[in-house]
Amino acid sequence: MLFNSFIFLVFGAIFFSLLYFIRRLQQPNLRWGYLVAASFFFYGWWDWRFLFLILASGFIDYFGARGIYRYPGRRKLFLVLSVLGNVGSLAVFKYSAFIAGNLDRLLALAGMESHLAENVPGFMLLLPVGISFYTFQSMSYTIDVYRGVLKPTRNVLHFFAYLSLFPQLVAGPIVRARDLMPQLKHLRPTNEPERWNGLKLIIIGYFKKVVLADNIAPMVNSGFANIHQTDNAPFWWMVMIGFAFQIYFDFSGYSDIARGLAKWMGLHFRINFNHPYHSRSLREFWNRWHISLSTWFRDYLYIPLGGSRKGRLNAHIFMWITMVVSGLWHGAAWTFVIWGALHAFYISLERLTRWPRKLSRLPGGVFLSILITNVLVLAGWVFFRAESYGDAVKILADMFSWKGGGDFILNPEIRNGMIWLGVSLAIELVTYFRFKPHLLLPVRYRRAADLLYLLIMLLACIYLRGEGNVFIYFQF
Amino acid sequence: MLKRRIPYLFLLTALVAIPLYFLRDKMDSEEIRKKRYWIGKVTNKKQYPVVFGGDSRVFRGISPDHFEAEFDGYEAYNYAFWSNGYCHAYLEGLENKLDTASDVKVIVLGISPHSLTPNAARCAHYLWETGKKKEEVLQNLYFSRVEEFFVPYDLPELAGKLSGKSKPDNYRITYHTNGWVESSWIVPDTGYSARFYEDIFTENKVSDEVIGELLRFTARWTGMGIHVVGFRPPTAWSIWKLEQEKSGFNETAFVDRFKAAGGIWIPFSLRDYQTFDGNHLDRQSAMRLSADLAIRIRQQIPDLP
Repeated sequence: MLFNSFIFLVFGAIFFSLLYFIRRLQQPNLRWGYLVAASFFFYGWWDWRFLFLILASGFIDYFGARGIYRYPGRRKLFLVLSVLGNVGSLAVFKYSAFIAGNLDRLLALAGMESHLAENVPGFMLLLPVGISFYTFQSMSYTIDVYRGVLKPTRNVLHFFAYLSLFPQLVAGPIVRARDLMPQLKHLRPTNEPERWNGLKLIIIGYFKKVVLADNIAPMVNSGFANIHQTDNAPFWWMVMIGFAFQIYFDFSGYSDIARGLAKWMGLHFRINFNHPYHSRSLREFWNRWHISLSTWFRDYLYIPLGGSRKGRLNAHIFMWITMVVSGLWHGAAWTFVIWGALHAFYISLERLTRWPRKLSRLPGGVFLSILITNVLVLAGWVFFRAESYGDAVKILADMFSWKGGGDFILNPEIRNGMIWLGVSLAIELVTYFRFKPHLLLPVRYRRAADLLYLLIMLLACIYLRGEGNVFIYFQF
Repeated sequence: MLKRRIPYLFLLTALVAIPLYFLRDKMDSEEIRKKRYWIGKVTNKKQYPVVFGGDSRVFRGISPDHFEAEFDGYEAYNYAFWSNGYCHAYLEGLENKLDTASDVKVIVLGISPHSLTPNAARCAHYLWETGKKKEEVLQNLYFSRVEEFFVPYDLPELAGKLSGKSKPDNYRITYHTNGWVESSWIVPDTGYSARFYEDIFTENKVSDEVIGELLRFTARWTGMGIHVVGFRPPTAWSIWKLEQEKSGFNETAFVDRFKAAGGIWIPFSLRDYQTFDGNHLDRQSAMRLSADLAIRIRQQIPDLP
């Protein structure tokens, strides 16, 4: 079920009402069983068949980790089985059509006829919601046990409570077992400030998603639905900046809601987005964007490959591999691979030239480096959003052609999107300059101001929400 | 006071939402009421002695209450859908809606030329509504009553309302649980539909295959002791003329075949009823047509209990 759906509001109300009583019973198995049952209900609402996959994936890693711990002589075997199991399920359910299609093309180049893509069984085209997230989360558990930084749990309910916890199950953040499992062991009660802060996160998350992202979406979708009908440069810049904000607010909004829900359970999830468009370099961007995923790739791919410990050339190669795999993680299409490769190119260029540091030393250089970083990120987003390489190249060519005027603002969808784009830019500027108006008030009025601020946000979520769209990252 | 900020937040929200609900134009929540109406139509398991079938001309043009008043109170249900045609699935649906245990069994079919075309016979709306997922059914049937309190604005609309420059909606609509959609425009425009109705029959003429399927069901139903009544819903003359010229519908030939299959045809004059957009009857005409239909059916089938 979607966070921005009425059924989820009902589910959430029932879940937290019952959690209040279950938490008091001091029965860990009951608590974990309740979390698992609720999470499975949440996940199975999409399609009950998805539950078999998460169970299979989970059991592979639960027993794999136990095997690693109990049989140190065979720990590599259990690790390989775990990784193969998880990567294998991704290959089957997410990449089978992509692999088959590319094999067909490869064989066609060699003069052989092949129809693998047409013959991919239907069940392999399902793409279960959240598969990319929970397989990575599950793999991190067995890898951490292998590395000796985590002791595996003996309690299967404890493990599945970690793996399937509904706030982060379908679109992250990818939570490490060593962070979450100790918290799940105790599941302490919450106090009013924690619940208030959790509610703030939830409402801010909804505001980002249903007000900002969903109101910008029609402008972006309208642009991409009619790619070949316009070559207007200002239009495409508007659409792409719109998409940059749409994906940011959509995804960070989901993460905020997840973190807020976790807070209500007495759990702490780390921040997943830290104002990425304030970045002065692409390196900084990746420290601020989808932090749980980028740190996952750093810890479980880049560093095991060798990181920066095997010379500068190898560091670049390992970084390229990591970024390209990261691109492929986002989607089974060459445009995502190109997006990843483009970011790898940017980072390589940064490492070689150190341009952000040099530029920042000049007057106004900090703002210029932020501008350049965002233009480079924007170019990457074109490949991320476009359906094909050809469409992406066409859009980029239009953006830098400087053709066309402003008549596109006559379109009501575009006009509405531009208003919300303006609001989004204003919000980002306010956060960048750390403008906090409530600090101007006497202390005794700040709680009231906080309440008023949240009331306005909540009313905006209700009365200014856009047409409900699925969260973008659900497709991953 | 502010130790309990969370309850206060929700209380303040309710204090804004409740008065706003009563102050707003009912048409603001039209989308929600429309969804609830359609879901209610396809999830209603009750069966009726009299069932109406057809397209939007029927669901706007037939009021079961006004029909029942002239039909000795036998309960009727309007089971028509958007741009609907007489496909197999829909005809089965109509049959399932009929209370075959009742001593009165009547299926009334609104026959518009469009309902006999291949495009209409895809029954896209009917199949879409009957195929909706459980979550959507629950949401639209039950949660929508709460959702009505929280209908969003869009910014231009809100700006218009705050500045007093926005005009009230011309379209007035009430969704009835008996299947009737009571419709009218404050300012009617009977030439409206003709402007886009021109292309509706391009490569989409009345189909013999669709007529054949309808007549097979008609014969089957009359064989089961069900009275099958057909009528052509009245429209503006411009639409009728367009249909005569472009749809490929031969009403005389159709009526002959319909009667041969056991059906009862009831003709209506265009002059006696008014539409609000050329295509659909306004509420007064819909009420009058419904009553007239009941009286005419009784005249045609005098041995009805």
